[in-house]
Parts: sequence; C-alpha cells; structure tokens
Amino acid sequence: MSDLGQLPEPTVWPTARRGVAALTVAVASATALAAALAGDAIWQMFLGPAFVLCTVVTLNSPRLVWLPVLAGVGLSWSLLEGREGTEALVMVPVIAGVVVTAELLAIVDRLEMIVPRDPVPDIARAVFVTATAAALGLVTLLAGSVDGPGGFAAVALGAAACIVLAVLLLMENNVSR
Amino acid sequence: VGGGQPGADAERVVTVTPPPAAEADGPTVDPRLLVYLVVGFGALVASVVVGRYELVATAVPFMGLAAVGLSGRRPPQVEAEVRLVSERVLEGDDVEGEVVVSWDGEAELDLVLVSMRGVVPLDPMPAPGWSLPAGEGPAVLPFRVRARVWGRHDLGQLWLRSRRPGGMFTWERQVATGPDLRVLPAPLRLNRLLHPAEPRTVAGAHLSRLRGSGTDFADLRPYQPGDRLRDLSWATSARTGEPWVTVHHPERTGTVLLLLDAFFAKDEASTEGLARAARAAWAVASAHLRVQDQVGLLAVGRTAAWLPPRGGRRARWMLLDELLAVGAAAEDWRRRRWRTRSVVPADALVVGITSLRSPGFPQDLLHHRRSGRTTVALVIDNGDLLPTPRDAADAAAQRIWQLDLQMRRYDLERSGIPTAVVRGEGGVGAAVSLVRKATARRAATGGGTRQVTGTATRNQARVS
Repeated sequence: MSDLGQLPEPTVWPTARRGVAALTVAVASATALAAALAGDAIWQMFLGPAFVLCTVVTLNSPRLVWLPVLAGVGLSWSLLEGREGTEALVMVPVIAGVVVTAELLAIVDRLEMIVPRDPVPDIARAVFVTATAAALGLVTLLAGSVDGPGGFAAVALGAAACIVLAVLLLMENNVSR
Repeated sequence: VGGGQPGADAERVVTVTPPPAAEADGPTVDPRLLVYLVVGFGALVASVVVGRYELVATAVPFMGLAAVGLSGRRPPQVEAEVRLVSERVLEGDDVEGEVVVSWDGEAELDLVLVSMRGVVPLDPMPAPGWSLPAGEGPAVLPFRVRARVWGRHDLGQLWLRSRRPGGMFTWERQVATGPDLRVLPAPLRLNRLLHPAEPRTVAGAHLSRLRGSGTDFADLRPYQPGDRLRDLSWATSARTGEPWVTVHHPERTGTVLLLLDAFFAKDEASTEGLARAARAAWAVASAHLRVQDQVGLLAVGRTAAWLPPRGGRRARWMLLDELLAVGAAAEDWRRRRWRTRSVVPADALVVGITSLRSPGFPQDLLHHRRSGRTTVALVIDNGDLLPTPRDAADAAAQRIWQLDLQMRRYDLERSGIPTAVVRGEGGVGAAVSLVRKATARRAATGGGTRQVTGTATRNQARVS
C-alpha cells in the first residue's frame, strides 16, 4: 500500500498488526496441518509447510499475496488425489483456510500505517467472507455429487453464472474508468 | 499579545474553504483481485480439461470473492475541511481544531494531516490521523496541536485513503488544505527603553536635548519676563535673593529601527535561535510602541522583511506580520522573500538583533553606524543550543566558534557599536539596560567606546 500523503511508516509494527500477523500464521499453520492429516501420500506433507512459508514471506511483501493463494490452491487440489464425489469435501476446510489467510494478509497490509486502526471489523468481515466462500464450495460439491444430469446441470450453471458475473463486472469496471 | 492568555480569542472559528479537490488518480487495485480471478478461471478451465467437477468447488468461492471485490469500484465522493478554533496563538499554546468530513454511501476512510509546519501534534498521536471503519458520514474528528515555533504556518494537507467495504479498489488523494496559523512570539516584558539620538518633535517618552516644558530637570537660570510662576525655584530664589526658575527637558518620541539578523539554516537549533531573536525584537518593539515611538523593521539574511518606521496600533500589527513572515520563512524555505529597497531615516536608532552567526550582519550594522546613526546590538546567546560535544576535537571546535563570535562582537564595540548579550528568556531587559548605559556613557564622553570595549575584553577573557 502506498504512503498516504508521504506519511512516515511506523518504525515498529503496531501491536494490532503484530497480533493479526500472528493470527495469520496460526491460520495458515492450521490449514497446513488439516491438509497433512487429510493427505495420504508422503509428498503431500511438504506442501503444507510450503504454504506456511509463502504466508510468512508475504507478511512483509503484500504484493506477493498470489504466492500463498496459489500454494494453498495447490495444496487443496492435492487432496483430490484418489478422492471423488463427497470424499472431496475434505478440500473445503483447506480452501476456507486459504481464503481466510489471504484476507488476513490484506488486513496486515492495511495496518501498515502510523495511524492506529482497529482491526476487529476487518477480521469479522474476513470471517464472514470465508464462511460464504466455504458454503459456496460446499454447495457446489454437494450439487455435483448428485447423480444424473441434475448435478451436472447445477455445477455447469454455477460455473457459467460465475463467469458471466465476473466478465460483466470487469467490463463495467473498464467502462467506468 | 503582551498580556495575552492562551487561546484568548478562542471564540473565533476560522473556517477554511477547501480547494477544489485534486483530480483523483486511478484507484490502487488490491493484488488479491488478480489472483482470485486467475484461480477462479483457472479452476474452471482445469475442471473442463481434466473432467473433474470438484475443481469447480475451488473456482466458485474465488470467483465470488472477486465479484464482491469488483463491486466496490465506485469511488466514494468525499468532502472535507479543516477548522481551527483560533488562528492566532502564542508560542507553546495548544490549538484545538477539527476535521469535518462527509461522504456518500458506506466507505472506509483513512485521513491524515501531513506536512504540518510549526506545530507538533498532541492528539491524536503520533500523527493527526484517523482510521474510520466502514460506515456512513458525516464525521467530525477533533485534533489538538501545540504551537512549537513562531511564524505564519500552514497546517499542511489533509490526505484521504478511501475504499468501499469489501472492495478491492483504494483511492488516495488530497482532499483539503490546512488553514494558516499565526504563532506569535512568546511575550517578554520589557520596562527599559533605548533612547533614540534625536527624538522627534512629537510628545513622547524620551528626553530631548532641547529645553522646554516637561517634567525632568534640566537647569536653573535667572527669571526672565514671561516665565511661568510655577517654574520658580523657591529654594534657589531664597538662597540667592533673586528669582530663579527651573528649566525642564521636554519629552519627545523617537524612531527605532530593528535590524533583525534573519540568518538561519534548516536545523532546529537555528530556528530556535531565530525565534529568540524574534522574541527580543518583539519585546523591544512593543516597549517602544507603547510610548508612541515609531518602530520599523529591517530583516536581512536568508529572507528579507522591510517595514518603514511608524507608530500606533496599526504599526504593531504590521510589525508582527513582518516578524511572522520571517518565522514562516525559517520553517518553510519556499516562503523566503528577497530583499527590497529600504530607506532608513537618518535619525533612527538602529537596534541590531543578532546571534552574530552571519558574517555579513556586522557589516550592515557598521554601515548604519558610519552613516551617523546611533547603533546598538543585542547579541542573542545561543550557546545552549549547540549539541553536546562528542569528543575533545568537537569541544575545541565549539570553543573556537564561540571565540569567533566574541571577536565579531569585539569588532563591533571597537567600531562604536555598544553590544550586550541576551541570555535566557528574561535577558532582554538586562541587555537593554547595558546598552542604554553604554550609549549614555558614550554620549557623555563623546566617544566612550573604551568602556564598552573593556566589557567585551572582560567577556572575552572569561570565555578564554
């Protein structure tokens, strides 16, 4: 985040920022642990620490937020190895962990300011967003596991809706600029 | 100002109309947006390629997050202004103010007052800034600052960072500028006056060398027809057996020119040194203006100020304004002014106020002395502002520098310019007494530089 009016940045991290950073690392570690417990293969054990490492690196470099997100998505996809249908539900907590980690990293970035800021509303919103995202993933998985064309249609419809929504928003955004 | 209380005019509310808001630059996009879109689209493509619908369960949450982020792309329309309770305060006074901000819809705002000059923030600390959680406006944000140094200062700019709740676009821009704050020099009481060489013919506080109606005794002489009976000296008349009358000096006003050494650097000690000089100048000016003298100001150095000698209440404010301009230039070099043509009256008493740091300033004083004007110098002692020496070489360098200042002072006195050192806040009165005595001695002996020079030599010996 750029300096607001060339305002000097704090020489030490404010207490709130340190607390949220610690929470971020804790959430990332819990996500990695959950993935490690759910995984069957030995190589999956190494993906969790890599995700935590990416998270720690991003604490000081907010522009690198793609690093833990991609690492987390890779971690969740690795759990699909040998699982189908409702067995893939094990992926949902990992995705939720990745989302909440990314949101907390954004909060840590916003707290990099000499002006004190209360992070509680931001954390509450991150939790809400994560719960919504996890619910969407869960619903998609459950709908997809329904046998027959109904399940396929539900997933296809959901995916198409996402694409249309995103494209519309992107186009509108470009026009408004 | 002399007897002003902190926040004496606190009832006045100074409102500054904010300038047209700077054209907002494009928003800063949160780096999460791109990665969410990439993961979402990538998962959809991957699900089609590998034929596993479970991957869509990854795509949907991230696409949903991206959609929420994109929805907050409409910039909040924010208007703000900075208000001060009082625009005129004394050095060291606390000033209260408020930022009034209003915006449309729901938004998160970070507001900061930056580049404030001449003041230090007290509340909020360490910077006057506020972080407002998501909500609707308007909001009034109080703040408190302390006037650190005299001068006419602006309170910087109000910067805003705004975003919609959950949005991934952030806008930053300057929304308002701070009002001007006039910080007046702290008052120094001065009861002594310097006497101009040739008081003018307007009634005032200085004794004229002429004789006439007045209250101060000048001479006795035999009674002449037309003399007032009230001037008869009964004791002398009884002793001599003839009528004698008392003659008085009439009181007249004079012209005083304050020659301010506006030599300063960008360090804090230099600014404080200049502030001391300004306080001394203001004390001398106030004392003389009170007794109807005409007072002018000529500042020379890194900035310039010129106010022809004049008297009265208006002169007081004009003088203060010029002094504040010098203070503002010391705090903000962009406010420096170039020297303009100045015509100093021939009968003016020139009072140099200097720390003698500027090598050119004594030349200016000598110029006035050689032009026949009575010239004195108040030397502001800034020795306590020097940093603590780190080693012996540093201490020796400071010693040499102080001796150099003593030499400059000695040269002035040898040239017939009485000097006195102003030490501490209450030192102006003592210094004025010293130069007043030196000037009187000089007038009595028809030169009198020897006495003053002796003082300088003693001082020099003490420093050595």
